[in-house]
Amino acid sequence: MKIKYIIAILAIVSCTSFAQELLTNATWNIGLPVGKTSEFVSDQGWRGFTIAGRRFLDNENSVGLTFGWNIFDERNDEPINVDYEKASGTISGTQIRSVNSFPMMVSVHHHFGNKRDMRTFVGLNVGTYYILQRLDMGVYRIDNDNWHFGLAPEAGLIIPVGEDNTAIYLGGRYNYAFDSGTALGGSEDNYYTYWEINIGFAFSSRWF
Amino acid sequence: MRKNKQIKLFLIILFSAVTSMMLTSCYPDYGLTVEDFDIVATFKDDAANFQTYKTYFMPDSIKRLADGAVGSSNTQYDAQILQEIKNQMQAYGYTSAAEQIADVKLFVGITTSTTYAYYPGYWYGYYGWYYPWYGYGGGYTYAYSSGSLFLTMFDPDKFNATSQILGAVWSGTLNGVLDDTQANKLTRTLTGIDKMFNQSPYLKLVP
Repeated sequence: MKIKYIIAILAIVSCTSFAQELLTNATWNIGLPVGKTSEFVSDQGWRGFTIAGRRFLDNENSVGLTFGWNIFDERNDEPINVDYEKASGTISGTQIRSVNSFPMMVSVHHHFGNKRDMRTFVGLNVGTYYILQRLDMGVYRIDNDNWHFGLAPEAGLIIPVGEDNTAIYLGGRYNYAFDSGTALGGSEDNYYTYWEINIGFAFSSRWF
Repeated sequence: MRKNKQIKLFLIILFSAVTSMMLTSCYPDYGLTVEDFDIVATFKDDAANFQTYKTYFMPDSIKRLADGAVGSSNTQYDAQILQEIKNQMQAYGYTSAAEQIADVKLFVGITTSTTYAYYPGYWYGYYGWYYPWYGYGGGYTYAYSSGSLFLTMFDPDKFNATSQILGAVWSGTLNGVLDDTQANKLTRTLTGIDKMFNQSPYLKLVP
């Protein structure tokens, strides 16, 4: 239930930020797990969003905040092999695997191009990820959650639409949540990596 | 200017609302059936050499490990279950023998239990995941009965008289939901037994 309130607060914060010289963007995210993340869930994540705000320091550079939620999940029927010191085994059955990632980051961006034209940007997000890894198998559920320090470089396009300071926002972001805690199953190597495609709107208090 | 702000505000709220709905209500149920809740787990003692075992002994009854709520005293299908295990052992090259001379002994046990739980609502979870459920208000109280079939292979020569620890060299466990028709429960049980052996190819004796 807490997440519901966080989303509501983020929406309110985004709306009230119009009084300042801000660029606010809200996007739908398509996620693509890579690396170790894809070993647990390999399917693309079609459910996710980002709400972010950028405060411009000058015409080209900004600092801001980025919040999001990405869900990766899949049905998996591959047997799980387990190894102990003197015994080993196999567990088979339908599994529902999921990873929920909640990035909360500060950002810096550099923008190219002229005001009121289509602008490209590159940026870097730095902050934390709260990541919940979940395995449902049979009537059992195993959760594993950790906070991770992380980086997310990104690049994209802001395409103005009309004269009302609204734009289409297209971006790509690589998320790297560094090793933290232990993974489900006990592995000490618990980092997450995934790509995001961000599609949505950007709103500016004035064209930057 | 005021109109522009209203449009932006509307778009942000619309986006947030649509995204929230998408995230909360569109968790797929994956079309799960009661069979999808069956788990088969097998373990072996890595030090055991199964090729040295040729004969086995198995009692002609299934031990009820705990008298739970559902079906634990129902012995209707015990004969079919034991026969399926015998068929699999035979297919893997083992021969039935008297208890005193058998290389390994098979122990078959069943346990059942009923679980009651409360699911707080639609938010954050797999709606309809647990089977079966019934509910009221914003959340659901659901109950399910689950059962397990344990099949354990002991090597009498590994029995530790000092610690009284039996020498288990292999075990197979089938766990599943019991809220199903009797016929389907039997089918699922027999399928589970087959799976125990299929995922333990090292049990198969090489002629």
